[in-house]
Amino acid sequence: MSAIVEAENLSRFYGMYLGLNNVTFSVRPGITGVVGPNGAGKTTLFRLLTGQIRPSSGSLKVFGALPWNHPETQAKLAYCPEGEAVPAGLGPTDWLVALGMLSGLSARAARERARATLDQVKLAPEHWSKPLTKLSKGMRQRVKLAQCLLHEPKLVILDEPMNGLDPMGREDFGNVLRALAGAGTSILISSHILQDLEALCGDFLLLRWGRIPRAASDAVLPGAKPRWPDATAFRCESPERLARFFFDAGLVRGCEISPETRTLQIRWTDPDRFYQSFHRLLLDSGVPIFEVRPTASPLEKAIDAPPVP
Amino acid sequence: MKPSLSSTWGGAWRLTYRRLWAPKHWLVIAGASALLALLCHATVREGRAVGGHGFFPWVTDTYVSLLLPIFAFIFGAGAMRDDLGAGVADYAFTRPVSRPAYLICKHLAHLACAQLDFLVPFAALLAVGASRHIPGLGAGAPLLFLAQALTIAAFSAFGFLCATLTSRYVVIGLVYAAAVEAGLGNIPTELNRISLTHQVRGMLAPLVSPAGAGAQGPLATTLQLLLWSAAMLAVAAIVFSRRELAGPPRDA
Repeated sequence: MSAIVEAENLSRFYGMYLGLNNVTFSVRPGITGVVGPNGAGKTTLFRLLTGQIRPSSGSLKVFGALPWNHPETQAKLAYCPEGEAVPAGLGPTDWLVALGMLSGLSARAARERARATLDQVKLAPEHWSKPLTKLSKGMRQRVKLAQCLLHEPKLVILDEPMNGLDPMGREDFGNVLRALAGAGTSILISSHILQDLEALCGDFLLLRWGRIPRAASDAVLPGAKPRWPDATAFRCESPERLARFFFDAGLVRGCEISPETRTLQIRWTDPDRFYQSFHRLLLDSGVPIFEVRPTASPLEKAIDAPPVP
Repeated sequence: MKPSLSSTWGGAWRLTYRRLWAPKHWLVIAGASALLALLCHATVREGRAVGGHGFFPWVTDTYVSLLLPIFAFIFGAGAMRDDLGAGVADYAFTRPVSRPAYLICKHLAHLACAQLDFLVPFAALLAVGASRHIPGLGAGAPLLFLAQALTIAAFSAFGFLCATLTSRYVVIGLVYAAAVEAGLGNIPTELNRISLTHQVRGMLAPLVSPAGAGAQGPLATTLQLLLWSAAMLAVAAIVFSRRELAGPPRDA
């Protein structure tokens, strides 16, 4: 499969301020996660890819061309920024129709596409005419995704699109992205919710301090890819009882209890053993459980790993 | 799929008028117009069209030469700065739209809205004139309207250019106002012709003084101001097409 994005020694500086520093990478078709802590250069990368800014040095090709001031390339892209800012005084339909027309659709086609995409992102029709600024954060995120789909782009770039979505909303959002990818649209997505990225993405691009420390797959997976997280957090009615149960089952390498939040964090001797019998073990424990989440995913480990000199 | 000029216009128009014409906006326009009418009513003498405390001199000096240019400039610059903010730039300029085409369509959409907006204070002033029984009001109204339309076009184009250049467009506006409009525009030499308000005042001279000394024909003034607007817009379009649309992001 040929790469849709190719960057070679790509750098971008804002005066003395570092955005991206001499990065070389390529992105293949499919869903690719862009991961890194705040200030890593993710948004700079997205702005370069969408043609809002120029590279300071190096080369960048998106579908074979530099996107800066290049409408033919921009026609194949769509961007959902992280920022909360949306135009005041406009409802989702009006906004999407206007943006659809800026993408080259006629007024009629833009209106049809606006309705179709709002439907696709599962925004209830009663919200289609409300001012964008009056919508909840989750609804705005859906509208922001809808504006990406208007002109049926080949590459959708999403900057923290899951912010503000509840777990069901994130699941819906993920399903929309999977359907898009299934239909041949490539997706570049950044998120701080790493579990979601892990569930969605086939490839990762790891950024830190404007550089790529190493390919995420190399950083995260020395050898075979671990299937389960090494540690898990449980918010439950009685963390002590649950800890004792797991100790008795011989599953615990170490644990930590936070009584204030009634949270138990466990590091497993063998994560496979726990996750293979996940349901049975939790039922057998007899402890009411409110939340279960992994505490150190492979991606988190990659982000926390010391930089390569 | 590259947008045609008509779809670019459609998009720019929809993004502009929907945002501008909120109910709150009309309340502000109505309030400002009422204040302007009150000021005019308090200043202008009954039945007096020209000379001290005359209706036409007051409208020419206070409204057409001072308030209108200031507000047209600020509205024009504000509209452009709004479009450079993340709420629009991230969505509009990541699309295959040509930036110069967008800027021109945006300006035309903004101009249409501004011309309609300023009809309200214009009507308020005419109402004051009628209530004060100003002679020649009906005959002078078309020329006053033309002066208003041209002033809005010229100063909003200038506002667009300044806002495209810098976020500190007010500084450029103040320097220009002091150096050209208040400075050179008031020097009685040929040099004062570079002042836009001087040109408009020249066009309105037959209303202000019966002799109409130094009057400039409406056609010449219209051509000059439209040319100025087109030149400002062309420079703004060139600057805008080369401009990067985002400073250092929070998450660089």
